[in-house]
Amino acid sequence: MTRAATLQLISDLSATQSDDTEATVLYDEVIRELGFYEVLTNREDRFQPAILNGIYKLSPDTMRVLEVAWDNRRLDRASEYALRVAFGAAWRLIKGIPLAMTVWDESASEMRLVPQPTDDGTVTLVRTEVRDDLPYWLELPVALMTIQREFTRESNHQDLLFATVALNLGKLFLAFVGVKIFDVRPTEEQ
Amino acid sequence: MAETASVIVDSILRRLRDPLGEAHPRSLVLDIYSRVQVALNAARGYVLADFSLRTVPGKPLYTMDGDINGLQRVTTVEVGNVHIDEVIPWRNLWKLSPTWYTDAGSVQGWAMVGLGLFAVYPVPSVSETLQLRGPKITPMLTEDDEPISFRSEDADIARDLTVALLLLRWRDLDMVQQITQIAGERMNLHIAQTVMEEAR
Repeated sequence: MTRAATLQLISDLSATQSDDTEATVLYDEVIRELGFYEVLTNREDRFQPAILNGIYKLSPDTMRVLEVAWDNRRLDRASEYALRVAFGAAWRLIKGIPLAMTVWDESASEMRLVPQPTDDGTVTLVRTEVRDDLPYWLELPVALMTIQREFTRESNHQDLLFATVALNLGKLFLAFVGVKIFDVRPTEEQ
Repeated sequence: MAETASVIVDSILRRLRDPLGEAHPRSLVLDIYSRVQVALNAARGYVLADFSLRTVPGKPLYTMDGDINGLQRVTTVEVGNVHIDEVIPWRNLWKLSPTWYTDAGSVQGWAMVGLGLFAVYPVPSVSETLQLRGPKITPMLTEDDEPISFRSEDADIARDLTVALLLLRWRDLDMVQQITQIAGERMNLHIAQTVMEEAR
């Protein structure tokens, strides 16, 4: 289903009191927030030429990387400190079969495979993603969570009690479809 | 025999004291009911569906909205008539075998990776057919004469929660609390407190 269907649902459930422009922004926020949980998961297989020196650029719709494999071998997620301890100060120059990955440039959405692959290969990602075409069983909870944000913000239609009930109903319907939302984001698995 | 959508819509509109649907268009009621029905079915599995998945040699992960269709998630897997165990959580696949991505053989385990991916272990070396079963993605109702997916007794809870959502529109929050409490008791869930406790 489309983003438009969810935005229409938001308008319907709030008796057309929501601000459509702001609701669109808040809808995107909710979708990104869901990306921190294992809800919209997908896999990505991409050919990675050796010439890229192990720098892998994540696609823009990737929210959270759950697992990475190089030619079907799982890569450990490691900090730069751990890589320095394991491979020495020149860890970025070592070449071989990749054993680990680290987030290299977060703002550029880049990962670095360590050691740098000497041959071409395939990177497989298991990831969460943001997308517009939500499955329709997810639209109701997303609409309710967007309503919470829309009616919490400062505006001429602010209604905190309505917003909180909408959020809790949103959590309830999320739980129905198999998503448990915690107040604290889950820590990254190492 | 399942009721038609019109019976449910009429019932909901009567509860809202709007039998002619002047404040609640029938299309909106059907829309909300459909969404409640599919969510409730995901939780309770009132209506299950089967899907035959033909595995691809060397492929461990299958998408729920492409490779597999019609199931909200997978709850049971069989090969032939042999039950296959679920691995929970899916990260235990790595503990089962650090090379599960490449271990080849006939399928002995499976896992849901979030709600979008279905994983099998080990990776099939030859194509085989898995019988998957799980909560059906009940269809969106658009016409009054369509049959609903639930039996009458299960439809009651979906109808109550639909009424609650439609009352939410009019900020009748005390009624929302009452109705969700009753629905929760029917489902053996303490959801009313969850819905309202932070609001007060």
